Amino acid sequence: MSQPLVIEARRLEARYGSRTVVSVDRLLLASGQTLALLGPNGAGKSSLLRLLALLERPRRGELSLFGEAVTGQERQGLRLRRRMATVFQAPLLTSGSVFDNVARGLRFRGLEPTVVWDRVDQWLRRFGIAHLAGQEARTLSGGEAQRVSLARAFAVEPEILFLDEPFASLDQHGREALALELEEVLRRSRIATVLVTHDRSEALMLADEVALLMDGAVRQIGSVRDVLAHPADADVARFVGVENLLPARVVQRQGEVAEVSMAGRTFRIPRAQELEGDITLCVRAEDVHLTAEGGAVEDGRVSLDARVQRIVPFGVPYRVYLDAGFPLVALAAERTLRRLDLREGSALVASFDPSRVHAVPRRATLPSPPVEG
Amino acid sequence: MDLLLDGLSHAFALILRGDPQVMEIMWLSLRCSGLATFLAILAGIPLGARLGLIRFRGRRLVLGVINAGMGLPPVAVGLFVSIFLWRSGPLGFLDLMYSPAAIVIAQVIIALPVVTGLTAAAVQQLDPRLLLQLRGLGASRRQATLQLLTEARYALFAAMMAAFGAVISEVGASMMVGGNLLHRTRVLTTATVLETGKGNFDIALALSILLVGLTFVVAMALTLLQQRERRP
Repeated sequence: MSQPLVIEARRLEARYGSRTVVSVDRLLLASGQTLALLGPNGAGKSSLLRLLALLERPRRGELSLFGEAVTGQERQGLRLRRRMATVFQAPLLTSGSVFDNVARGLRFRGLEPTVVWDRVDQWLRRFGIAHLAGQEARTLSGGEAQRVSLARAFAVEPEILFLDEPFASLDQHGREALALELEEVLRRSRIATVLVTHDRSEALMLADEVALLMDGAVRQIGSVRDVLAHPADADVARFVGVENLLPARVVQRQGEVAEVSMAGRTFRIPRAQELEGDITLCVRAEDVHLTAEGGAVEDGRVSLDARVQRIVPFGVPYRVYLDAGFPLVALAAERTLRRLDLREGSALVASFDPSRVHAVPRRATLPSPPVEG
Repeated sequence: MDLLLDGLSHAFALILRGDPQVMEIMWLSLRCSGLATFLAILAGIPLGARLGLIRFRGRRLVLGVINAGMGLPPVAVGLFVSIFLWRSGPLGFLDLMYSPAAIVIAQVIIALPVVTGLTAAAVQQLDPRLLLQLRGLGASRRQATLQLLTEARYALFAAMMAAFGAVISEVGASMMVGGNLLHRTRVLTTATVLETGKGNFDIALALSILLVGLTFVVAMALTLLQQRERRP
């Protein structure tokens, strides 16, 4: 790795009472990188962030920040914490003006008033809130308050920035606007960042790498695109938005290509190295095409006779719930629905391209329809 | 009714004339209770902040004892302080019995649980994530605590007012450890009891009016400080 590591955690574990909330074998962050801790609610993302930011003590494990092993000593903790900054989901502003709030971290560090003034001014401008400098922080709107919170963190010029669901308290519009601003600031400043989020589009937009957390453990770590495209297991696949997790079985394998059987059909899938026996096929709803009953399906696609069960508007495309002997979900534009004259109970052919299928080993816990064929 | 009207007119005459003896008693009351409140704040706010912020084994028990201490009967405090300061008691060598210092000691014991308990409650009322946020911005323990106390300042002023109110109005402890000695330990409450017993209702009324007035002035001053930056 060319960049020096700013965070290096090994076998880090945290508990609340008897419950283990974090159990991470290894986690690294290189200088200048943004790592997203992605996962469902209760996965331990925020707890992990608080361990890394030295806001809570781990029960066991090793943590190095900036190449220095963390001892748990208060003096060392303070010194290291002053090289970092944290932004939480709620803005958590203190009383006083916007200026006072943005100056807070700088004043904790005992910086000269002129330096404080310059930095505060710079970051108020950067987040477009310079006109609010004299305003009482309590009177701000949600979006303004979160900008103050971000400016307050950036103003201390941290070497690691911790962002704990920084947009979660905002509405859709405010969230997108602020995420765009933050993306630009992060890209320019190249501060090493740990971003906690449950929103994969935020991770995609802001992060270089993603660590997918479930039940306190890292299930998968890699580039955001890679994790989204090639989830390591069915749980991760479900979390990253793969709606069709279809049980299948490897019949035979030649190198990376496996011949699998599913619902009475046999076809070949790529990238199947190391897969044996029972597997789960991850088919994204947008990859399932709908064709009229008896209509022609492109060569090489796996086609399934299905019946429409429900049609639900979902954003621009519609989500079509099908029964193909097992549940299947497809996305379809309104145009397609009209062309095929789809309604509940309609019979049709659903198909997908096996070369776009991603396969993972079957997990015993996966609730699944019975395998046929 | 005449008794009341006569008493009132006489009382106002005493106050307006600035009767030296009445003024002396009022001044001693203010000094003793003011100092006791100040000392209780000095010790009670840091103590309350720690109790409110730091988790340790037995914290609930300690908080329970302190909260119970808020209702400590002054007479009981007076008795215990007397036992300690009595010539043959463990602190008898200090020769503090029947001195203003003894009154201050007793009143600190009365005020301390009030300040400590209300400070702990005030700090616990704050969003617990605020402490994490302050530490996440690089605050030392001391800086974070000071900032949290600033956030809780309205409740802290209320704690100070409650403490002053408790000590300026108590009579049992002052009577027992002070002895109500003229020119030495006679305060507004003990003097009121004495004058009422003697049938001097005019003087007793004057003292009571001063007591209520003093309490009001101090509370008002603290309220103005408390509310000075409260804007809608």
